[in-house]
Amino acid sequence: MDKKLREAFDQVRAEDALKEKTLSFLKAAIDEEEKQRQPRPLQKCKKSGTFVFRLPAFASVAAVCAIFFVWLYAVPVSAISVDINPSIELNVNRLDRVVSVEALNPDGEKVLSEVKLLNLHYESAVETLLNSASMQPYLSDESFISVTVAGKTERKSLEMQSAITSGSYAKRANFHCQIGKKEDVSAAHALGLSFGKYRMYLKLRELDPTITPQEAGNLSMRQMVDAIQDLGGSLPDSGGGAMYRHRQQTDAPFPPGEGKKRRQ
Amino acid sequence: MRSEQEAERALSLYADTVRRLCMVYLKNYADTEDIFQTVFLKYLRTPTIFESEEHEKAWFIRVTINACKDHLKSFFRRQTVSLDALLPSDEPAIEDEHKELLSIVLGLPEKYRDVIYLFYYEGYQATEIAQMLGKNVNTVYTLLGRARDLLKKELEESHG
Repeated sequence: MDKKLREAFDQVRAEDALKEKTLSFLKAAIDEEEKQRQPRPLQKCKKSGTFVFRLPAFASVAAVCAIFFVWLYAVPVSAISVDINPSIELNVNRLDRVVSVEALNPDGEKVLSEVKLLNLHYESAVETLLNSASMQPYLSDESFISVTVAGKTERKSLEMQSAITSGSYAKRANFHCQIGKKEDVSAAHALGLSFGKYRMYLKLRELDPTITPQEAGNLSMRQMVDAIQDLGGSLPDSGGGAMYRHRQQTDAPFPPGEGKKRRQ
Repeated sequence: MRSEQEAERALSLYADTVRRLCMVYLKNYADTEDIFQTVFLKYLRTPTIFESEEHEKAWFIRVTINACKDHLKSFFRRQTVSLDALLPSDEPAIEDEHKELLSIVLGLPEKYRDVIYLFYYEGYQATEIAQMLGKNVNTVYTLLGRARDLLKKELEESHG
């Protein structure tokens, strides 16, 4: 029976017509599948177009981000004027980084030619500047080291003053840090002075109206301080009572200077 | 999806097997056509990687049986039972002797037909059939024994 069954089943075969019909059906299914896999031209254009159209959008966003970053980083909002005899201004951005430096006199240019301050935090920048070898000839006991800060806001100015007076360089008896006014910066520059020296110039002018900005520019800070004292004046205050903060605990408001060595 | 060449190869290898299983299960040729095409379409679309031809053949048998059973469950399936209805009219007729035996086999209850085909024609062991049909091995043995008895009885009756 086994053999008969095998023979009987063997008689049944897939008919050629059935195979051909099925093969045609499968070919059609394969074609259809391929068609579905291939995006229609319109869809392709639309899809690629979407990407193409989105590209400028991405670029725009990237450009806006880049502009914002540049604005955030490159635009200075605060300034620090370091005046001894060299007069140097550091422009500080919102991130407290020095984004530009400017020498306001030949001594300042000489110092800056040997010191790199860009992109440093302003505390580090002031420290680097005052500890630099090129600055040392100006840092005698008789010199008057003046650092004037002008922050975007009063609070920022106080913060900067506090940070600067906490530095190791601020331990010098002749170191003074005061808060200036931002609006003085452009006025000072118009006269060729740093805004730190400009404040001192204004005070000196009250006592001696004959002094010119050019003469003030040629004086060291020590000479200006001594001139003010000799004329019976006091140093300009910071407007917030925070002037000369580092010397809060010292009895003498200013170190003894060469009072007679004033402007010629 | 598999290629056209793979479809042709599968047809040349497994068309007869699928066709016989369709005959075992289905009641008319139109249904056979449907299931036949369905099985090979499933083959084109299956992601299964076959380890051997045996594996591939077992897949075809399993899928054909399932497709036939699913079709039979359909409320709208066609209801025709004669052997002639299972064959296309333009194909050469099966020899009478074999036709009679096949008619007896197809007249058996469904549960016997597939085990008879798989055991006697395809040569699978009871354990393999059990695996393919999702049945207990002992059940397969029982079905085979009963199917054999039924066949003998039917053949004896038909030969008087």
